[in-house]
Amino acid sequence: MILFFQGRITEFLLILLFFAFQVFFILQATKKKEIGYIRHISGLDAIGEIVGRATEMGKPIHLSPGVYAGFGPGYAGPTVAALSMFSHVSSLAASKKVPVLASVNDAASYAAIDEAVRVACESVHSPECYKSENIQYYAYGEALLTGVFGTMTRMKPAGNFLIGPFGWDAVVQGELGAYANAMQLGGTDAFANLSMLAATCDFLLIGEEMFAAGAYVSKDPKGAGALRGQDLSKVVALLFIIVGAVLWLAGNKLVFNILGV
Amino acid sequence: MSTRFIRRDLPYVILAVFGILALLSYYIAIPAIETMAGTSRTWVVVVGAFAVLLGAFNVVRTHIVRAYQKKKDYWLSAWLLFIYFSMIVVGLSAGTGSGQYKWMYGAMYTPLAQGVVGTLGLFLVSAAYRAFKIRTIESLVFFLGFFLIAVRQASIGPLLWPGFETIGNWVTLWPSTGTMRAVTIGLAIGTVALALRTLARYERIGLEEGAMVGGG
Repeated sequence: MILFFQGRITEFLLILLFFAFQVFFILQATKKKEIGYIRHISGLDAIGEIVGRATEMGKPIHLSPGVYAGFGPGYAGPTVAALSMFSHVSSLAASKKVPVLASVNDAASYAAIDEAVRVACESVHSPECYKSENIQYYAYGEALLTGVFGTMTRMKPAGNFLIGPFGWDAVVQGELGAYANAMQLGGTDAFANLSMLAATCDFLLIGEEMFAAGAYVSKDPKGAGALRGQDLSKVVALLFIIVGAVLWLAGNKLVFNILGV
Repeated sequence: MSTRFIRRDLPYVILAVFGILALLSYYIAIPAIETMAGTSRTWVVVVGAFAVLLGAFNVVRTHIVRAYQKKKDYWLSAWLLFIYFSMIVVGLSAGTGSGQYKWMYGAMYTPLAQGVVGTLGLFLVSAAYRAFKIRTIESLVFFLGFFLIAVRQASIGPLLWPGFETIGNWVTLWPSTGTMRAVTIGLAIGTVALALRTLARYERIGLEEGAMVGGG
C-alpha cells in the first residue's frame, strides 16, 4: 500500500523537522534556557514608533492586507501573516487609545480584522475605542482603492500598515499613504510589488520577515524560540543548497534524488 | 460548553483539525483523508459566503448610519445605498444574466473600475520620483538598477549604446534572479513556520479573547 504521494516524502519529513525545531526552541525558551541570538528586524522595531507617532499626533492608524487578501492557494500565508501582525498592532494601538482604521476587500479577512480590533479594545478595557464603521469592507479591488483614497484624504492617519498579498494596488496604496504623510510599514510576498512598497514606504519587511512578525513583536520567550527555530530551518535549507550544488558539480545527484523522493 | 471555550478555544480547535487535515491530504495518499479534506474545502466556500454577508451588512449599516445622521458627505452614503439596492433588485427580479443587470455592470461599474486602475500610471510616476531622489548610497543603487532596466526596455537605449542591453540583461539574469530566489526560499520557510505556529496555537491571529499587549 502506498501511504505517501510520490515525490512528497522528503518534503513531509522536512516539514516535521522544521516543526520540531520550533517546538524544541519554544520549549527551551519557556524553560528560560539559552536559545541564542535573535537578530533585530528594523521594520518590526518600527511598529512601536509608528503607533507612538499616532499617539502623539492624536491621529488614527490604518491597516490594509492588500487587494489579494484571502484564504485561497498562494494568498493564505501572507494573509495570515497580516492578520497576526494586525492583531499585535491593534493591541498596541488600543493600549494607547489610538483609533484603528482598516480597509479590506476580502470578507473572511474583514471578519478576522474586525474581531482582532474588537478583542484588542476589550482587552485593555476600553470597548468604546472599537468602532465597527472604522473597519471597512469593500467588495472589489477597485472599490478598495477608492475607499483607501477617501480614508487617507479624510482621516489622514499617522501610520499606515501595508502587510499582506499586495498586487497592483501596492503602489497606489503606498502613494496615498505618502500623500497623507503617514509613516508606513510595508511587506508583501509578491516581488514585483515589494519594490513598489520599497519605493513608497518608510520601513519594509523583506521575505520571511513578514512571517516572523507575530513571533517577533510578541516579545515573549515563545516568540523568540519560534524565531530561533525558523532561523535554524533556514540553515538546513542553505545546507541542502550548498551541499547539493557542490555534489552536483562533482557529478553526484544524491541531494537532488533525496529531495525527489 | 462555557462561553470562554466557545470564544477562545473552539476557533483554534477547528483551525487545528481542518489545518492538519488539509496538510495531511497533500502528503498522505489515503482516500478517506482526501475525501474529508475535499468536503472541508466545500465548507470553506459556504462559510466564505456567510462572511460576505457579514461584510455586506457592515457596508449597509455604516452607510445607513452616516446618511441618517447626516454626517459630512452623507449624500455619498445615500448614493451608495441607492446603487447597492438597485443592483440587488435588478439582479433578483431580472436575473444576473439579463440585459439590464449586464448594462449596470458593464456600463456603470466597469468604466469606473477601469478609471481607478488608470490612476496606476500617475502613482507609478510619483512613486518613482519619490524613490529615485538620490540621497543615500542605497537610493543610488536603487536608481542605477532602475535606470539600467528602463534604458534596456526602451527601444532607444540599445540604439544609443549596445552595452545598455548587455548590462541590463546581466542585472536581470544574475543579481536580480539570485536575490529573488534567496527571498523565495525565505518566504517558503517563513510560510511553513507561520503555518505550523498557527496550527499549534503559538501564533496570534486575533481570535483570542482577552489578548494582551506583548502576550503570547
